[in-house]
Amino acid sequence: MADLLGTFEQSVLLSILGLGPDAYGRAILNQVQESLERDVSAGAVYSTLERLEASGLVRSRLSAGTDIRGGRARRYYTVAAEGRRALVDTRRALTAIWENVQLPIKSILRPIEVRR
Amino acid sequence: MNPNRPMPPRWAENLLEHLLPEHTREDIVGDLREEYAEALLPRYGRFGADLRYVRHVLSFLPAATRESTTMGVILIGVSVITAICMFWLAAMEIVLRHPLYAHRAALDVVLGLVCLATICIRLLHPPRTLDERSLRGIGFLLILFGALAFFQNAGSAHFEGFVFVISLLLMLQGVLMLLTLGRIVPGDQSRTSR
Repeated sequence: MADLLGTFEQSVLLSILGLGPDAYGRAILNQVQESLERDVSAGAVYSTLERLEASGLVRSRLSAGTDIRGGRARRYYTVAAEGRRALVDTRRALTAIWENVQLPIKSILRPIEVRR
Repeated sequence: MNPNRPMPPRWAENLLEHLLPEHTREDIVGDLREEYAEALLPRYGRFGADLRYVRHVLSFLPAATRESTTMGVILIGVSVITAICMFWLAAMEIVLRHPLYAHRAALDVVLGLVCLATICIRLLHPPRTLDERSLRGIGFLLILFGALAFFQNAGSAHFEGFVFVISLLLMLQGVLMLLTLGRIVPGDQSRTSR
């Protein structure tokens, strides 16, 4: 069975899925920042993309560049079947882990406080 | 290309190109140039956009230092110089016999040996010989020794230029060690085995 994905990896994969055919590096960076509601460095996103691609969870292809990019190509990403499976597995595992936990989480800390 | 189009700082873009591996260089440099012109500059103005662009560029540094051997070569070079300096200092302490010379000579020898260990670890590929925590420990130790020597020298009545250089070298060596030998993982990227 595949490994579980970290929060950041889930965010990157879900951003690619959400952006659909427009999922290239810069768009993914902005989408990840939006979904995590914090500033994220480009290095973190691109190194994650590279790792996900190396492990076969995403695929990429280059397309033509534009003037504003100095003619440099854009790299578009898509989530591979293995990536979708990893997302589903991760969600299933997290749901199972949280299933018996009652919110607010403070309530499960009460026994520890009592013991003190 | 339009010469009037807003461009990120040239030096930062050159640095970015240097840090990136060849297969991703073109698209990432293009992405960040686009981000600079379309998002950062209109939102933050020239100075703010430059700062944010540089921050993005520097975020590629840990990965680049892990992958490239350049930093490793610099680390070995610095370690060799520091080791020679430390053994030379130890020899001088023994010859000149200032008060507490034996303690200082011993410390110099220890630091020299740490430098030699750094070289050996780097040459032998660290993961096989020492774990990450030990390597980080050595890196922080070098920075600590360097900082101690720096501030002690700066505060003393008799300023030693040689000690000043060595302390800077030690700190540089520690930082390089952390960058090249340790694994710096940005954010939560770890994958937990099931």
